[in-house]
Amino acid sequence: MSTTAEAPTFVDPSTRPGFGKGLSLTLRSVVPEDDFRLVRLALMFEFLFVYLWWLRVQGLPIDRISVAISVALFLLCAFVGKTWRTWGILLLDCAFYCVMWLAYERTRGAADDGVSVFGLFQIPKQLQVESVRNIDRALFFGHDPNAVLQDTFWERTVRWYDVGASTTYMTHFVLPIVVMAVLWAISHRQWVRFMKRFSTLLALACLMFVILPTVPPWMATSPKYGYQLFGELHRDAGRGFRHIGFYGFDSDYKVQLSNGNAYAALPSLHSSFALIVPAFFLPWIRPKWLKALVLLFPVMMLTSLVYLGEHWVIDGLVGWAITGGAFWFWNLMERRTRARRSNRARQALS
Amino acid sequence: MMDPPKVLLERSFLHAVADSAHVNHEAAAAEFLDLVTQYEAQEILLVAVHTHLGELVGLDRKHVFAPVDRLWVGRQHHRAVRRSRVADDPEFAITLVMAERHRVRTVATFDPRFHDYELTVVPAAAID
Repeated sequence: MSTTAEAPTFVDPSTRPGFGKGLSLTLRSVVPEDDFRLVRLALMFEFLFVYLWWLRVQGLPIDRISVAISVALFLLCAFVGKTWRTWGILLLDCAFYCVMWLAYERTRGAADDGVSVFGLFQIPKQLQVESVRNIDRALFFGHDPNAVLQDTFWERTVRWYDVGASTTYMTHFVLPIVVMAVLWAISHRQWVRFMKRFSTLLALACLMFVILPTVPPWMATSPKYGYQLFGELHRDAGRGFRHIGFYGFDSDYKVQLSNGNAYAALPSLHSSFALIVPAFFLPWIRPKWLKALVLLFPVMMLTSLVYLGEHWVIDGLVGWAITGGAFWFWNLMERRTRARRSNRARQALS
Repeated sequence: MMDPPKVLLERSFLHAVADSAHVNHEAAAAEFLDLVTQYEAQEILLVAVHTHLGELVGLDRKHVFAPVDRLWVGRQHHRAVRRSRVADDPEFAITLVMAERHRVRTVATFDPRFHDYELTVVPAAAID
């Protein structure tokens, strides 16, 4: 490669006036600040206040449309005054984000009808009911963890741990979305890294929902569904949340896209999402005690899910395993990409 | 904030790396290889103003600057250049604008004017 551009030749900086006399200029002193930076900050704080007000008065937005609207409003605030190119990339990102969630919702139909493999043959819908329960019993020496926790702790009145379990459960609808939105605003590179891992675990989970539709414990014990593997479990995941005056907010739209798949127990996305967030931020956390503390969150989530009768223990463990797998895969890919690019540079200069 | 620190490869540095006949080529290549090693270890990110990189290589990543990300210049950056105190040299000014907007603290350059700013300038040998 050659160049005809006028490249300045080296001038010893120590010969320049002011060198070593503390006369360095800040970039801000010569370059005007981004006019919209403060506007963006103010809008994002305003959004935060409105979101918290909405949470208190109307409830926590949990259906897909309400969540999408709140994310879109946040992004409008966070991207005001950015370049058209940045907006273009944001639109592509949003398209990917929407396709990812729509694909997730579509698995419900596939799980209900069985799976056609390239039109050649059909994998019939085979509900997992006793298999998952048996795995849990094997893990806990013949006990049903859901039943043991509810028999020991569930009371008519709401206790402090109900509030903890219920609030932990509800974070599922907010935490990963908040992380995505914040990463979107502060570092597109980190957003891409997070989304690669997130969409991979979501895709793996969807595949398992279709191949291994699994009945959750509350359904497996309900007389309404006829399985009744053991004594009926209480099912009211939101009661602790309501006890402290909060509610879930569902929009009144006719189509909410929230066609929750009742047989999507294995793997537990609650557990996966509760692990992906702390696992992603772990490299930025220095103190070991704090690393251990944030990793308690997924443990708390799985315990809550089992106590609330929403999931089997094995659902959570598989959820963690696919999260770990997504991290392993993308860490490897990113390392290879860096190595490949670095080698190209070295080879070009050798 | 969450990304590794960015090192901006300034125009003079890019040309020195790319042109084997350049007077500073050896120093630039040695420094660049050192930066690439740091990039591979995820200690830094390598960036360059997209117009400066575009003078030398295409959009693909199959060249000597494969590890370098582009800082895309928009109209608002050109407006900032016109309002800056160094507007008389647009190429120099755009580098300062992009460094300020992207919180760059280290610049790889052979242009001595960058020593006037609160920036770490490499190659380090230049100030020995």
